Amino acid sequence: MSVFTKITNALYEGDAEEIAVLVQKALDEGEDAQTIVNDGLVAGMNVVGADFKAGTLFIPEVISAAEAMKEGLMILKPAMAAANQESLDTILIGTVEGDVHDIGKNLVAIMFEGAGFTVHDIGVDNKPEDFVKAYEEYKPEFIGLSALLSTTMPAMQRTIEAFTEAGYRDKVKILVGGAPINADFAKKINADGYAGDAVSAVDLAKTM
Amino acid sequence: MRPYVQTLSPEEVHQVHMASMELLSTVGLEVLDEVSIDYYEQAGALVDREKKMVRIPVGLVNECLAKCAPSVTLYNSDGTKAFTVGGEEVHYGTVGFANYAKDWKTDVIREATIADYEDILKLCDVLDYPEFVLPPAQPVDVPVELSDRYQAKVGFLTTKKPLIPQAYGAQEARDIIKMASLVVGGMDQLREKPNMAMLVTCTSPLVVRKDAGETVVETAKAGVPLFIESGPMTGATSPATLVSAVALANAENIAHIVLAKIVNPNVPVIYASWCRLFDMRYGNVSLGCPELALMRVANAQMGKYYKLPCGGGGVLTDANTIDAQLGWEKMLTAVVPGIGHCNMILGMGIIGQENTMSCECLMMDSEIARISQRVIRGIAVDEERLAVDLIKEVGPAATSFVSKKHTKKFYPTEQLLPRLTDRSVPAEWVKNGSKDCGMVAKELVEQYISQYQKPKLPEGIEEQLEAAITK
Repeated sequence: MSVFTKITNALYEGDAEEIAVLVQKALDEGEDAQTIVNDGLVAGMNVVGADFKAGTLFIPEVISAAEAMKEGLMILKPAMAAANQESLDTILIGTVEGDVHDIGKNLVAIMFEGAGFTVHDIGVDNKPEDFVKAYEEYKPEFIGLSALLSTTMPAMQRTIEAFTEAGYRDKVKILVGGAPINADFAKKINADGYAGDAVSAVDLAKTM
Repeated sequence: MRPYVQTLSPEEVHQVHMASMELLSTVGLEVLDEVSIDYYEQAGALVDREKKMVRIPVGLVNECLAKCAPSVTLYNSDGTKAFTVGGEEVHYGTVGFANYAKDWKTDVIREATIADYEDILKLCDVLDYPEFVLPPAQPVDVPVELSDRYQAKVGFLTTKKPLIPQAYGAQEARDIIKMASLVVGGMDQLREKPNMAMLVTCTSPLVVRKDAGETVVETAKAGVPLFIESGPMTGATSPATLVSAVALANAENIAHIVLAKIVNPNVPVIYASWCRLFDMRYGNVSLGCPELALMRVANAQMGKYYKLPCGGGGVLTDANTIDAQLGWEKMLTAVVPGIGHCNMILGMGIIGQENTMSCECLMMDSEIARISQRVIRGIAVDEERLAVDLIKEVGPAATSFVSKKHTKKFYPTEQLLPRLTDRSVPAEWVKNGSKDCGMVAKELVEQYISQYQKPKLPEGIEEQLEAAITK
């Protein structure tokens, strides 16, 4: 069994300790960091994502896998930086004004971290100007807006409008999600995308 | 005997109690209202102002629980008794704050308006079940910041049944209590014969929100009953085990009850819970699940351990449409807490992630409540019912008991007479139009709503209630 297959299996099992050992071993044996990421970690995460969508793997397992992935990426970071290899993007994520629900948002944050993104989570009940300020500080490629209450959905629109007013709208990709949200609403408020769950959110961001 | 179900042994109840006491006294809660912190501190709780943490010693818990009455009586707005909450009594009511309504005439799902809210209130008022009304809708055609108050106003104007409104903070609580007092004829009348209990929800884990603290304080000051409800989601806002959710909810409820009793030792309190599941496949709350039914039985046991009137979510579904899933989930979560003697079970009238109100669904829930009540009532046993003499008289190989006086006397109470339930033979069913229960429910909605009559209320009450809303 190749080391990549072993890594893929360990990732699926959510075994962070084993991932750390295998990734280090692969590096020591001279494997290229980016190849370890693509053929080992990402390949494993793809199976996790597919099985989650199919309803045969559930959230706690997905979280374990994402944390194992994060562990692996941390070990590979110096090697990838040294070789100037591609680093993935940054996402700023938060729940919109008037809404304090965060479980879904937290799952999305974990999945993005697991996928190698740098995640800045600004928590709950964020006014449009809070998002704009955070954007100015972190300059993310993506922004994720979360809402659980249908009464706070208008705040998503106001947040996107704040970015237009500030002149940042076309510099960043804004994704929206949450139980009452759907693709029609996302289009109506001029968001760049909508995802129905944490795994799809990462898949979507990667295509953008 | 009436059937009674439990899921915690006496030792297990005690274990849950001890776990909750440990949480209350060594971990404490984050209390986000300064005034509430003052009350806790004055009464002897251990307070860290900077971290907003309040730890409640067991002695203070015991002292406050000892001041609680084992039952509360709720009244209709005309002063007649509605029902008593406590002991073995079980009563079913609505739940809601839904933003959407399923139109029972067109099946269209759209944003809920005041007109939709009034429709379902009328149905609530006419039907035997629900017996109390937590506002089923959060209409979109009123300003969001005044929504709770308009829900209360329209509720008081449309139904005489006891209301379970929610208030977001001190001013809202005051306005809603004022409205209730205007309807029944004054604060003294309201305290003596309350036509409402104020809903206060707790945030898990272990938080007393600012609005919750304020609402508890204002409502306790007014002496109006409090319906205190904690609802952790297992695996999300509590650990994934059912018993830990029950223990956590127990601690949170007791913390809010303690606050109420510090403010006013005589205020009636109802111990309620919305313990539910966080589904690990959908990443969503689940309400129609067997686990909810089990936790509700455990919640009722804990409430009764402290000799408190109890309540909580039941008659619930995760179904997005009116189908068999709705049927089995609502039946499960209605009857099981019912035979667990959860005194006030709320959930009628709502589908679709708890955000769509439906008159058609309410009609079905009404039947489900009736069926549950029949199960709760159990089997009555006495000489006359054993009917040995009658069997002797009729003798072996007799043809039938149908024409006997004894049959005529007993069948109306022994058998629940179906209202929505169909039991016709197939040929009859086809002749009558091959209707499924959804179609029959719609016909019954039409029939019952047409029987609605406005409750007798004081002259000029609508203007008075409008004036009570602080804008």
